[in-house]
Amino acid sequence: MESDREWVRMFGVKLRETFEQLPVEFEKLQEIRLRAGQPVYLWYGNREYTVTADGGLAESGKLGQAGGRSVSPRIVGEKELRETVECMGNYSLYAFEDEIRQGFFTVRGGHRIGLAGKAVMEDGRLKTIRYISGVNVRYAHQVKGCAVPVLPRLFQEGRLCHSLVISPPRGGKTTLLRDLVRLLSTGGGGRPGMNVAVVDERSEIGACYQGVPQNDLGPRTDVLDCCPKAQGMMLLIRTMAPAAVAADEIGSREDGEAVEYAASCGCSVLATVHGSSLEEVGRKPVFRELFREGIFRRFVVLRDGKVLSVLDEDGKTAREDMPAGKEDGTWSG
Amino acid sequence: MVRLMIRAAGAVLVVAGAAGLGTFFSSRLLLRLRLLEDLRKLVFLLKGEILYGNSSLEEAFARAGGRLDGRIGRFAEMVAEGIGERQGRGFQEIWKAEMESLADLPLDREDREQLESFGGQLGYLDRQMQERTMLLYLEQLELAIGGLRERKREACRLYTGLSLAGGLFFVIIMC
Repeated sequence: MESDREWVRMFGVKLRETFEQLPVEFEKLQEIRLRAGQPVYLWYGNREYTVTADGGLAESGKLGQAGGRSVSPRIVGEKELRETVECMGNYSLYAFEDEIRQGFFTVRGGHRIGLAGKAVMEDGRLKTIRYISGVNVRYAHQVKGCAVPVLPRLFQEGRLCHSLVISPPRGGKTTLLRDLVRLLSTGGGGRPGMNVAVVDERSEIGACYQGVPQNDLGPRTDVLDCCPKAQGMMLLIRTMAPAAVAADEIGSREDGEAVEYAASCGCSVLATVHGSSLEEVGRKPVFRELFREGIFRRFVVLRDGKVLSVLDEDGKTAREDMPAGKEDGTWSG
Repeated sequence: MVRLMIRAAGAVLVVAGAAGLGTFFSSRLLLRLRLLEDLRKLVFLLKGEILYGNSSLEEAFARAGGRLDGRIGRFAEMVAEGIGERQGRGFQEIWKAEMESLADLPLDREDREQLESFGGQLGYLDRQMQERTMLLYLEQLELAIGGLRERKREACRLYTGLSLAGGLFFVIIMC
């Protein structure tokens, strides 16, 4: 877990100086948005704040009135944005080439850095992004215990069902998946731990550093870091013989085929997808097919860090197959 | 008799000192050659780490430093530590700061300029650019190493010979 002011260390010197003065707790920090020539915005405790030039925070829209005095926003310079991106990439942006092609890269701690700027194309495909003018830092938080109320509903007759976690961006999919993996791997409450394989294409689940997960994923978890999901799922099933395989944000046809393959190997699949409801996800071509085949038997729908529902394959509320946890299942990020 | 013995001892010391001076210059030349060869090894290791392992500069320098002995290995480890400290400085600044630890080594001005320029280009753009940067530096190193090897024997003999001759000449003048 990130400690104290560790989260500011990814920024260049000047921005770091500004952020070091901010009265924020890392646990509530969700996002920082930097745009060249524009103010710095923070998503903190589910609210947007503007960083002020004197190192304070003002709720967005109330900037001029902060504390009854005139306050100006902290503007991000082009040079400091460039320096910050270099620092974030550990001066090795070349090592993130494949990720940058998808518009983001993941840094130590599992935090995701989204990029905007000038797209460089080659043969009609995005080669890289240059002249970066916008950066969105999404902080990853491990919330241990957040999956406790959900886990018993994912079992049927003592067996873990293929489960899909559905939520809009920033809804808490990855956080829930991470904790599900940890709980399954650790075991407890009369349930033995199981071998779990995680395909962590964007290093967000395990936040691996040099291949070693920095987040607690339990003692029986094998992580394949930075590997495309479809390829990684098949590889891990063949090599590590897991009882469950987890992957974040599936969506491509290859991912769908890998899920089918995993499900047909006797391996339980835990996956997440962007969406706001089961119906909406069902309209995506890949999921239409998967739903038609009845592969997923549990659906966890999230919004703003809260579990809206845990549904079975008939769209009814799934009942608990194991004793429920004590936590309320609320978290952010 | 005593004066003669003192003179003889002085002469021996002067000649020995001059010979030592020659050996010192020869050893500096040989040390420079070894340092350049170590730098070449470092670049080869970095090339492997970066191009085949897709490692970041921090990882690449840490691993390469761990595989190399001596000052160049330590230098690589210090660069990795400098990056790992995440102080928000640019890589060029870190590189220059760590290069100061090599100030006492017998690298000449050109060696240092090439090394500094190499560090200045690392991390810029894509993997292809890293490869080109490393190849360019390797080429420069090859030239320097080749030149040194060619004149190594001759230069060492010259240093020793000239120093000895200088020492003897001094002794003759003094006597």
